[in-house]
Amino acid sequence: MKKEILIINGKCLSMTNQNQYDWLLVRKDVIVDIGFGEGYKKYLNHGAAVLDAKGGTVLPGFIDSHFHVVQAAINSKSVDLSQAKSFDDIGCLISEASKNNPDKVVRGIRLDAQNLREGKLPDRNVLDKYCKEIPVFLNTVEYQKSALNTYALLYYKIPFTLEGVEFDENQVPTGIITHYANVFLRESILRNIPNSRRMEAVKSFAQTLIEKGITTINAMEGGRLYSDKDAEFIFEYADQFTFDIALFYQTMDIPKVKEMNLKRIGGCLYLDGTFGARTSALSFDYHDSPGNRGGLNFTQEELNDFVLDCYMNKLQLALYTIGDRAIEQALNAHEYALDRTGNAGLRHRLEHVELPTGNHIKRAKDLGLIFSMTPTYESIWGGPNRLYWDRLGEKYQLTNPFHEIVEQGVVVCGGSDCDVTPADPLLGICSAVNHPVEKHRVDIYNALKMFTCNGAYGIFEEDRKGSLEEGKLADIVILDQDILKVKKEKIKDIKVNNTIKSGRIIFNREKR
Amino acid sequence: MLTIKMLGKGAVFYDEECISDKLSSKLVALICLLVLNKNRNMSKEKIISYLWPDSRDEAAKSNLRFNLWSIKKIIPPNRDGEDFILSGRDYCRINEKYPFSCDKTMLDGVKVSQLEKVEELIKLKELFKGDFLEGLYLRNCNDFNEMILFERVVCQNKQVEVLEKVISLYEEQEQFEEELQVLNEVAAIEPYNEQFAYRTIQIYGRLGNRTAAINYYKNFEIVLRRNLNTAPSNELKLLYKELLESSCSTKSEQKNKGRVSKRKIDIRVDSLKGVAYFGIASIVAGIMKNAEKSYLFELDKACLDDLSYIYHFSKPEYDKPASEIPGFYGYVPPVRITQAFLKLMEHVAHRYSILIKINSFEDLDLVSKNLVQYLERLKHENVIVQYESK
Repeated sequence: MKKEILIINGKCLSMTNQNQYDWLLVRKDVIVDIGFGEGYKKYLNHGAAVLDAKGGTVLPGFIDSHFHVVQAAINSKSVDLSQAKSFDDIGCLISEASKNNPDKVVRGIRLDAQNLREGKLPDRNVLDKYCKEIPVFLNTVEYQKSALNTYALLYYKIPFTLEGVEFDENQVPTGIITHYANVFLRESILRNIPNSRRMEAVKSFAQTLIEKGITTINAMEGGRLYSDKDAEFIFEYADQFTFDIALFYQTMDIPKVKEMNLKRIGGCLYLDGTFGARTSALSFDYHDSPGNRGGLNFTQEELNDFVLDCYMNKLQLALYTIGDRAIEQALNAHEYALDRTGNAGLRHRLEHVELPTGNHIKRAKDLGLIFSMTPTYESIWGGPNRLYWDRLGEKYQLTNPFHEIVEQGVVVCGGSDCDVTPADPLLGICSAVNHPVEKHRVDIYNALKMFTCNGAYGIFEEDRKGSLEEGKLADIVILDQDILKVKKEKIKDIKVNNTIKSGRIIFNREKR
Repeated sequence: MLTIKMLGKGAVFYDEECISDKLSSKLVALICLLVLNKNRNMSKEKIISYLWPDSRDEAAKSNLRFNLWSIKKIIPPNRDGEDFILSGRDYCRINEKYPFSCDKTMLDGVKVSQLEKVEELIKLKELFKGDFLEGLYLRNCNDFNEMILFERVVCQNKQVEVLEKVISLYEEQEQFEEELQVLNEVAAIEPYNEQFAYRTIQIYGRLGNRTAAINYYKNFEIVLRRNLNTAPSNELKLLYKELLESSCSTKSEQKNKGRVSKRKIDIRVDSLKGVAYFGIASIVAGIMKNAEKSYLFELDKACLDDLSYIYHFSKPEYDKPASEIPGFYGYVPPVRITQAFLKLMEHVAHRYSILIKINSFEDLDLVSKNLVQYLERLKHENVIVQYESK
């Protein structure tokens, strides 16, 4: 492999200033020169590999700031039931999966009883009709319930004494598992997945990331609905993948995180729930559920204590907040902790932050908080007659106000929340630029910052990553078009031609 | 003697020899089915509906015949030459005259609420080696599989019932360490049960193991938050708060002291006049040998470091000679050793009743002599000094 890569004919956005350079030179794993016009010619005789960007935009490698990599990878091997409209649909999908992998457990995800003609989850008798030769284990959209066939009920160690096991009139389990029993079951199944299977799943999933130009992810692993073994796996094997991983261990176990020598804690530490389940904490009633304002999972006192502990231990903290009440609670806790410790500069983060008010944004700025947001939510849930509108009514116009946040000077990192939305930074960028509510849109440059330099800032890596400058790590992505000239709504269709990680070309569309 | 195990992986033993490898899954299933219905005739039609539901009538009957014949061949007759299974034209059943034991029937024959002796319950508890017929699933035998499911529920409920009963008996009898052990077992089955967590923390507190109580609460809180995203109940939080506010000799612990039966440690002290600390070192040795290590090592590290100057004891970081322990001083002044020794005695006396027997007081080294007398003056209720010759 050549030790130098010369990228020419590019629109190189350094992300440190508004300049567009024409070329850059990579030596080993570092960018060593960047410039305009024909200045690159002096390097032509060095034997460098020349990559012609053909007028496409050249950017720092994308940083996805919120990514559940292990579960996304494992889920990619599962049966997607999101389109199933009836028991028959489910039956067809699981039968097919069992035929394709006759000896493996059929694991289904994204099952939604509301989408089914029958209006309920299939019990074991239903599932047995379609597949009884191997265990079938299906999860609902937000993993709150599971549906198992008889084989799976016998195959897994089910805690029948726990709350949440549904029984028929003969006191035999129906296969529908919820509440404590579901948590226990899910946790034990995930814990028993061998690391070799995690490795296989993540390695094969890695290709998806590379093709989308992602060179660094913030891996939100472990904790509720996931498995601590995922976090431990990433902790142990993070250096074995083609992309960089910054681990966010989703736990409240500060001593454990300190023992692992991690500098950060949290991720999806759920202060509230989701809009889908109407459990995000709002200061007003849900439009489609009068009287319901969702709920908070912590008391203010509990959260204050935990946040204070993080400040005292100098850990960067990421808290999951969706509704405005949850954001308020998080800000109160940060104000409490900062007031008592004076420990500023830890770059604490709020994840998702879908419904902040102007006051919240201002206070977050004062506290030095980072917003780690998921612009693609707006593409799939934003605008009239979609999820935000269903849940919030006219207040759908308040979600994800990127422009106001950026204007106020709060740093916004962009993430996909994969696999809730696809691992695709260009889709995220497109979503931020084309927010359904015009006043919340940001310009392309600010949208790009979310997935490059701001992403690096969010994990204290701005000295190495997030911009194209001399001395920076050569994590680079070359697009097939000039992103600044493409119609805004077409940004999502732009393709990645090349992905370079630490000076190594790891994806070349032409050679695919 | 024939033994049939249904809890855990189904297994059959004859004269303590496992004969399971001679039995197919269907054979195990057939034996279990008949044993579960041991006091009645079971129609062959019913058995077929459990085990060969999809087979044609003749094939199913032939399968059953073959399996019954196999059992007859594998399980020898009793002393009177009678077979384990009696088979008639339309029914079969277990021969009542054939001696055998089965964990499941033993369990079914017991009403937990009527048992009042811990020993009986412990015996019952030991039967739970796993789920009912773990790992057994018969393809296309829906009724049989459903029966397994049903029995698993029954067994799991019974297991929790047994454990709860053992816990309550231990509580009544104030056997706290044993109760703690069973609480840990039940917590593995019911990890989010606050009642058990409350009781566990309470017992740790009563045993004087405040650190373990605090750690248990912290772990429980983490599990609740991680898996359920809830916090412990207010009662549990209150208990934790009380723990934090209490010192090693809080009022509540003082109040409960009388209830805890302390374990005894008897120490015979050797004397050697000319060697400083010789007597004290043998007291430390006696304690290190008899007391629970994890409890001892709750003492602060500096104190243990000082003691290790006069007596070498094993803990990972203390495995090295004292002089190689980082931060260890080449010389420890007598006052520090004395203080460390008194701290150790105070700590151990919280949990144990210590009887120190001095062989020859006259021959004790000077420091040890003074310290033993000082100990006596403290009049700690759990430290008794006896002199065999003074």
